Amino acid sequence: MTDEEIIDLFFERSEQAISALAQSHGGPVRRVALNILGDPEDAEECVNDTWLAAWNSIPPARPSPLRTYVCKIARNLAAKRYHADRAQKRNSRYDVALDELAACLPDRDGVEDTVAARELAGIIDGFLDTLPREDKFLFMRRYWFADPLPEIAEAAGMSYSAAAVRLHRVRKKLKKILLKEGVPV
Amino acid sequence: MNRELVSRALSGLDDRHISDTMCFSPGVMRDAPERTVHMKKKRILTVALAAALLLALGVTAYAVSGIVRSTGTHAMPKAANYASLSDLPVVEKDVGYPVTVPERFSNGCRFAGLRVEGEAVFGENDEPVKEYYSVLVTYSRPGAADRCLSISPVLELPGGAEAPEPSERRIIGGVAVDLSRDHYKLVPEGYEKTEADREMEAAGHYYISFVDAEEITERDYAFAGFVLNSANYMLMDMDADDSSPDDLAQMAAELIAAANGE
Repeated sequence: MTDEEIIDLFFERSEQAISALAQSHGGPVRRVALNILGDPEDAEECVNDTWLAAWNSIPPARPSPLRTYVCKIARNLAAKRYHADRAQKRNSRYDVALDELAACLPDRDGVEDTVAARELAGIIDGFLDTLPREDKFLFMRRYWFADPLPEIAEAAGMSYSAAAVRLHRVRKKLKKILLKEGVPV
Repeated sequence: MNRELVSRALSGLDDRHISDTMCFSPGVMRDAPERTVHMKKKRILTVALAAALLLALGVTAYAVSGIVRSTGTHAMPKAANYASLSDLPVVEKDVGYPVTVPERFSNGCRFAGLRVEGEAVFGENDEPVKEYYSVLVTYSRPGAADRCLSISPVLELPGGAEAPEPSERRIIGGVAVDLSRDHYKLVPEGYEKTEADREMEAAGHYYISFVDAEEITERDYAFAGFVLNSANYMLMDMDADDSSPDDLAQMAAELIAAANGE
């Protein structure tokens, strides 16, 4: 079933819409939720919340591409839940990915009044536009999808070491961009 | 540092970056659309392993210079995989120097694919001092480990470079071919050498290379290195035994003969 046909089902308020969406895009949605939450049960709840959020937002939304839309919903729900629950449950994989990136981003004390998370996202957006496709792929898979590095390296057809070294260089470039933008690092 | 701030910033990234990432399959990601070919997964991994080894060797070779700090892969636009030797003219045009890549050798090794890789020599502040393209060719033969051939331009490096001492030098077809069989221990940053490591390093042909990896890997490698038409050629056996140096020397002889039009 095409994305347009699935969205048409949502517009018709057909219950088949959810099952068609899950069938077409359930894999990546489940993966990003599990990568962040680290717990299969929590991830499954997040996936169900994602389908509900899609049901509530389509219509009026007619997202394209649909997979990006639902993955983004899932990631945001998972991240929110992760930070709300983090005192009880820690997912070291996601922590490790965040810590890698945090090392080149500003401390909270220095950033709160000058650069909010949205502004920081804008800077990272612009930075990603300057990267070669490979580097952007590595960055997004590691920090947005929170995928483990060995999987990313295999997907990129490169060794673990080469992927790690390249990501290290990307983070250094990002740090330079932040300094150039006047963000206290 | 504030993980939540980072997480929130990532959540706010534009959809186009997410879509771009999901659109890239490994083959599509590595290759320009107009010349996409698909290497089998095993071949890609073999090439990746060879590339990792060359990276480790590069760090060893150039660490002595005060200016040049390391060599490594570098994002460049013409990096691509090729599955057919009919693409060799495109490869030569992209890398900027002629290459000799035989289709088969008398030991049964047959061409299985090649990769053009962007590389750079990096300076003290990780800035690229010199960019260049290398070619990594994979040869397969039934029932045996793949062999790899690395081709890269001869670089004029500031401060020079120090290559590992070969086990043996043979003159083949008028070309000096350096043969080595070495044991490599690839270790993570922070690894502390043991007394046994130091003794074996002193004895020769035992190398500790620091790589960005979590686990220690030990392997025997054999190499045949030579310069041909202003390019460095290195034939590699990544699962070496006693017969590997002679076998690589024979492959070198056939490659040199092919380059000379024999």
